[in-house]
Amino acid sequence: MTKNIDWEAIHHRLATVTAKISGHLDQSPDEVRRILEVRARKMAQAPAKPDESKHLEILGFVLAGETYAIETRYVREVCRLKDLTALPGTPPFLAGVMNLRGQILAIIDLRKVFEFPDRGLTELNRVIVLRGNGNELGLLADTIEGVRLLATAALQDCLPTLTGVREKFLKGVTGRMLVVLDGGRLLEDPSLKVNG
Amino acid sequence: MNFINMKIGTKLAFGFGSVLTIFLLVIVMSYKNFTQFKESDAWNIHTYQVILNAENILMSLINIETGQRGFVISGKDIFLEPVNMGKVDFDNHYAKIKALTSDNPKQQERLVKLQEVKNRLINETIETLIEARRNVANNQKTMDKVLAEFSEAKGKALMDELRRILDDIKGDEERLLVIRTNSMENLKSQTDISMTIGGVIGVFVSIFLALFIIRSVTRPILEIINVANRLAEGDLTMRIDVANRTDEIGVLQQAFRIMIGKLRELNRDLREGVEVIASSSTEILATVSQVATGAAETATAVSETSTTAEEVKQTAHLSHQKAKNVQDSAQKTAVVSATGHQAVAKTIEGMHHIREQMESIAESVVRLSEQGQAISEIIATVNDLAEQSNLLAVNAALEASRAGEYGKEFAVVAQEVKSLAEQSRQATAQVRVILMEVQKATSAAVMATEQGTKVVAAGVKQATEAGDSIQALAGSINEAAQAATQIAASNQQQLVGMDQIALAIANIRQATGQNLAGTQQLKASAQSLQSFGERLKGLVERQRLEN
Repeated sequence: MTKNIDWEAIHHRLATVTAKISGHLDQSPDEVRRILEVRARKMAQAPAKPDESKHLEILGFVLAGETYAIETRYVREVCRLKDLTALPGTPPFLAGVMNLRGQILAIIDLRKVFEFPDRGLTELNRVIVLRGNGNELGLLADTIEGVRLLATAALQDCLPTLTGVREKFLKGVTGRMLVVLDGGRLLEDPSLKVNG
Repeated sequence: MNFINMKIGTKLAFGFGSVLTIFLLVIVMSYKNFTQFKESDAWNIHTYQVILNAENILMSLINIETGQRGFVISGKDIFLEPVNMGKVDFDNHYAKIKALTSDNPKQQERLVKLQEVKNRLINETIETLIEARRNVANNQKTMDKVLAEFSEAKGKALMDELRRILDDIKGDEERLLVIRTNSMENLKSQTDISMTIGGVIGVFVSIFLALFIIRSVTRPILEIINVANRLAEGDLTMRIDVANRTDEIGVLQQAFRIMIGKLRELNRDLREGVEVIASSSTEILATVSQVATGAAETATAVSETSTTAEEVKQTAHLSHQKAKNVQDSAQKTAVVSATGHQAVAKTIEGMHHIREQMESIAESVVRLSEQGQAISEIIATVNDLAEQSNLLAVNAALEASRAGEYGKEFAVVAQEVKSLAEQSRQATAQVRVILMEVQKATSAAVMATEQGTKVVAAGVKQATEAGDSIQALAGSINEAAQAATQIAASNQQQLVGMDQIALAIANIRQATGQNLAGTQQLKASAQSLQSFGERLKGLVERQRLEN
């Protein structure tokens, strides 16, 4: 036997929800202004000046489950991956090219560079545009975490297990397994350059 | 004639006869001789009597003489006694001797002479002397005269003559005696010889005959005895030789032969019979044992049956009650079923109503779902905006860092934009989640209403079925009521039948009890029969038929 349904209670709940919904939608402009003002004030406060010598500004991103970072001075912008065109006869680390506002950008798959085995699902819908020394290339990423400061003291030398190509491109590793890439080396490396 | 084939009686007669003949001969001869002996003996007695009488006569004479002498001497009458007695004795003996020698003339002569002389003696001497003496007593005579007379001894001369005569008599007799004795001696030796010869002959003959008869009779009899003993021990293999005699022994042998043959036959028949008995008795025993067991089982079964009959009786009572109950229930049920039918109709109506409501609910829910879809699209757009804002914020941060000093405040703004974008992203994520939930809920609701309609349909069907069932039930109950009435009726019969069964079972029980006792007896009898059969078998098998 099913339990008796308390229709009164159900009606009451419906009424409350309805009120809430309608209440949220009709916020008075005064309320809106008030909220915004609070926010603006907060934002107007001068931020604490970080000590540049002891901090690095990095951009963190996630690729294939691993968290990486790269110094923001090498990063021009971040954008969505769209219209990736694969190029035949190119090395495997070159995923293809992308048209970014009229500019042709080579897209590098870091996984292939570091020779990780392909595993795990990746969204791979973000591109980090690196710029430096007259070169530009895009790095594939799953998600962009954001820009933040990293204490240089936290940066440790590479693990002895990382050898070869990885060692070349790594700037260091944090205690929390954040791998910091060396953007400069990435941009300069002739093996990553594509004549195009 | 074949001696062997003579009857035994005849043989024996012959044998005994021969012996008897010899015996008789000997006896006859002996008898003759003994008669002669006896005669001679009698004559000897005769002779001795004569001699004795002669002696007695002498004695009497002597007594007379002595008496006379005494009287002569004494003159007493007492001495006359012997004289008188002597006279008497003389007469007696004389008479006797006379009679005894009546066959002998010579002796008679002598006796006459004797008498004469005696008379002369008496008269001339004895009496005269006595007279004389008396005369002395009477004094008629003198003693001396008497004595002188006496001394003349006339008496002595007469006495001597008398003695001579007597001696002659005696002598004659003695001569006869001697003659007789001699002849008797001869006869005796004859007798001895003949008896010896006869005896020896007789012995030999009897031995020979005895041996012969024994041989011809005893040997076969011993043989037959042996056979009989062996028969007694059970050996039927003996054979009696055919001697082909026609006497009693032969007949006996024949009879024995026949008997042995018949015994063998009998034994064979017995063996067969005993086998049959033994096996039959064993079978009987087995069968009887089975029957006994069966009877015991029957007895048990009967007990159980009687208990069961009681139980059935109880059950019959019970079912009678139940039948009545069923009847009452049936009536009530009829009323109830009518009510039920109405209820079913109402239920079906209600069900239809519910279905309508369900359908309207489904409509609303579907509309809700469609609205949700619209929301989802909006949320997607918002999410996209949020992502773009995020990227924008990052780019702004990058530019801010590049802008250097001036860019630092801008970096804050960019950070804020990023956080806002993040928030809106989170919000959209939440909304998405909620939308998912709502979608799930609406789906569930739709499914529920669908189920509901199905349930309603099923309910209608069930209600209809229930209505039909109630109808059918009412019908069944009616039938049941009728059946119950019939059951009640048959129960009555059952009860009656049960009583009869109980009675019958009591009888059966009694009968089985008797049967059981009877079978026990039968078993005992069968056992004794079997043991008897075994004994018989043993007895029969003791007799060997073949070696």
